[in-house]
Amino acid sequence: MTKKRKILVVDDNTELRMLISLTLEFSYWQLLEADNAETGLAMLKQHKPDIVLLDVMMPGEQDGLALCRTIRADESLDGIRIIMLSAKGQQKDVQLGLEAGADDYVVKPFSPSELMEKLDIELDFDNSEDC
Amino acid sequence: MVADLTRLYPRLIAFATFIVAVLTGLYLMIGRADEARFSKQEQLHQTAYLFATAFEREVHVMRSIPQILHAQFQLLGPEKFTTAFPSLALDVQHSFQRTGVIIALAPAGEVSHAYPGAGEPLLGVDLMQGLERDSILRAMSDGPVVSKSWSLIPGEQMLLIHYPVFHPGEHTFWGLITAMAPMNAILRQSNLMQLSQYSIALNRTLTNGSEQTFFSTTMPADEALSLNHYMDLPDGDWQLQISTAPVDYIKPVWLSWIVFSAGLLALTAYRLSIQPQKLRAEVAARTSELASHDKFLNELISSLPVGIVVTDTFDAIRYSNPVFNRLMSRSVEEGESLVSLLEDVVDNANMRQFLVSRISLDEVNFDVMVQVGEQEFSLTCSHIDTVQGNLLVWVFRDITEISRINRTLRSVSATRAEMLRLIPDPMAFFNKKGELMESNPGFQALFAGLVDVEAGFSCESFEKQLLANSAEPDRLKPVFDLTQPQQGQLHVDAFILTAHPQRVFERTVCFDNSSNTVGSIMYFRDVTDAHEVDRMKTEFLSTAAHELRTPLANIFGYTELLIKAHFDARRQEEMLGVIYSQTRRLSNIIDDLLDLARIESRAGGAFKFDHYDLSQLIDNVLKEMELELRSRHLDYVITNDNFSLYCDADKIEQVVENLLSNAIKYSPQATPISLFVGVEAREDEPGFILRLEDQGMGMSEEDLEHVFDRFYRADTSGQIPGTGLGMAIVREIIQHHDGQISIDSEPDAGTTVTVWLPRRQLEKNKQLEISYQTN
Repeated sequence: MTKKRKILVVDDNTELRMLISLTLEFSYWQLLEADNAETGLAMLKQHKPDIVLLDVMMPGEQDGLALCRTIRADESLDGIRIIMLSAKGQQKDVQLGLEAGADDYVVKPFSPSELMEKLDIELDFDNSEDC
Repeated sequence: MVADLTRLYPRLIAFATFIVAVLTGLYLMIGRADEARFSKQEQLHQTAYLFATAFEREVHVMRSIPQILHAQFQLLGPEKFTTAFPSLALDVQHSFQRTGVIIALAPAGEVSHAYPGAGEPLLGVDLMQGLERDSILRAMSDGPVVSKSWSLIPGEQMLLIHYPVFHPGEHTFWGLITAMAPMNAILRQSNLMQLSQYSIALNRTLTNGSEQTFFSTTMPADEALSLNHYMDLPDGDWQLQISTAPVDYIKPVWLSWIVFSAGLLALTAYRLSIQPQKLRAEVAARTSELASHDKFLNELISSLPVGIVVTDTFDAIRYSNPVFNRLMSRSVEEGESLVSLLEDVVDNANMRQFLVSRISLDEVNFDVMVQVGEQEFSLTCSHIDTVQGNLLVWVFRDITEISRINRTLRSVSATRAEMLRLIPDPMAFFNKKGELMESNPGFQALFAGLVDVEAGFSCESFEKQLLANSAEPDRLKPVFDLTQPQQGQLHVDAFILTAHPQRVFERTVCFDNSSNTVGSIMYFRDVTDAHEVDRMKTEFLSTAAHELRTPLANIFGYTELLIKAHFDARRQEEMLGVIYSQTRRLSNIIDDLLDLARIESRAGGAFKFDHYDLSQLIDNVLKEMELELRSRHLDYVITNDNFSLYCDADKIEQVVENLLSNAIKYSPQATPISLFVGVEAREDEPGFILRLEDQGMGMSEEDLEHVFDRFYRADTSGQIPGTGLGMAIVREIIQHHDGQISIDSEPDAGTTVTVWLPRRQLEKNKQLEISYQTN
């Protein structure tokens, strides 16, 4: 509990990254940010965060779903929890996200406090795994 | 009854023939039997006479032999006679030519000499002790006797003449001289035929009255055919009885032959007598059949819906059926002239000439159209060769209705062909065998390279070609077999030809579901636009939602943080700034969307068109954007022309503003922007050209393809503000002004947008032509 957990936000929207940052300001999460998938993957490999918050629609070679699949295919990134964070909120979009390997799917707009609760649950989950 | 008698008649004849034949046979048989019996009787008489004659002569000769020897005995005396006997006996034998006769000398009854040698068995036989004793005793008292012996010489039946010899002068019995002749020789002499057929009995009544059978055959005799013959011989009354063996003059086998022959005769008679009856029956049956056939033919001709008239070669009517009479509106008489008759009713001045020429030319088998009042007839004439001479059969067939239907069909067909030609969408008709029957120019154009449209082809080969040339064969549901009833009447699928990869075609196959299937219709439609519209709508909704949610998520999140958490004043201000900017962004998107929706949905109807000066409109925009342009260098060139434009001023201003705004946003501040406005006619249509050029980041080929898509942003960094709707709006507005827009761009080199607007409003709904060009 004393050690801060790492969380990576991959989103092209600067305002949203700032929103997450403000949300987690007083938490035990250490926030890492990336504005596209390529940077996100590099940071993943470097910092090995516990959780990744992934936007779906991102400019660049890879979108959020592709990155999600890349993470799941990479054995070195095993055990990372992935939460999709997207404005695409239709049922089929959620389905696509889960199929790509995401553990959870949060539709924008979302409540920061609810996101916090989700992260708390993930943390407890991680702790129970540690036991 | 008559029929029964007729049926009975041949049998009667057969029966009578049988009886007569049998009777005749019997009569002939009995006559023949009588004749045979008579001839037998004659034979019997002859035989008896011959036998009697031979027998009498033999007896006389035999009596003479001992008589002569006895005379010698009287002369010589017993001793000398006995000594001379052999030579005497031989002499007598020779003189009477009786070599077969044995002469025996039996003193005191015991045979001492017997001549010739054949009589040797007799030697020593005592005649007095044997069966001859009675005869010898009788001879001693009465003189020579005729006797018979069966046993003196074995195997021989002998005729014996015992001649008693007395001592000379003493009248005492000395002995016997006996002549013996074989009976068979006598019978042979009488030429008696085979004893098997005759029965002979030789009887005599001796002087003492006793009956003696001298000779008889043992064969049973026929009482009916026998003869008694009396002979004049010594030593009794001789009677010869001769009879035939019993004979059946009527033989049963003859009777069988008679019956058999009579039967054959009767059968022949029966068959001969039944023949005419059969012929009569057959003739009757044929006659009746012909009559019924004739009746049937007559009824058939009467009931046929065609007018029939038969004429001879001299144009005289021989026969006409009721339909023809109705056609002529009167009863047609035999012998009338058909040509005259037709001339009265047929609306054709040349009819007579035509018919007469045809008949006289002997070209009698022809077919011609005849108009009678409102009705149309097809007149057929054919020539038949009959026993009554050459006849012409004229058949009038009412084709009024058929002609009417034909005319209607032709008209419908022509209309249909014209409609088919006018329909731009490809269409083809296949018959029930799957063969191509008809196709329109659209079809021929679309599938010209695929199938040989001119030569005709089958549905199956077409389907194969279509599949082989389809970019996405999976979308195609083949309908190879059109001859089989399909599930449902319609078959719809879509395909993309490899020759036109950008176009999507929809095919509808309509099957005729009725039992007498006529085939199917294939209808093709280019549905690329519809598909594209569908796709765009879906994509637009999805994109719009996404674009709206992104700022909304920030507003929602920051607001919640502000409410629930405590941040310092600086942070709060920062957060409120974000909320404000995101709200504005949201508002802008909604405004653009509404603009776009208005432009699209009203299709130009809500545009307020009027005559404006384009240069003035551009000036308005430049003034409005003064703030943004202040830091930029704009080369604005406008020719010295009249820029009167028929347009919606607000919309044209929006176009200029959007394009200018893009040029400012997507090019570095240091680079110049140039705007050229001039006059340019396109396709003889006078108009204006507006060219905006920047030296900014430019666009890739892929970007260019999507530049007019809603929410498409060439910038992905998020640094350049915008909704992604500007160019879509520009395009819509220019489209509604029948204008043209082209974009020429190169990444990192700059973009040139050229807009052309016609001076006047052109015809509406003309498709906007967009040309892309990249370097």
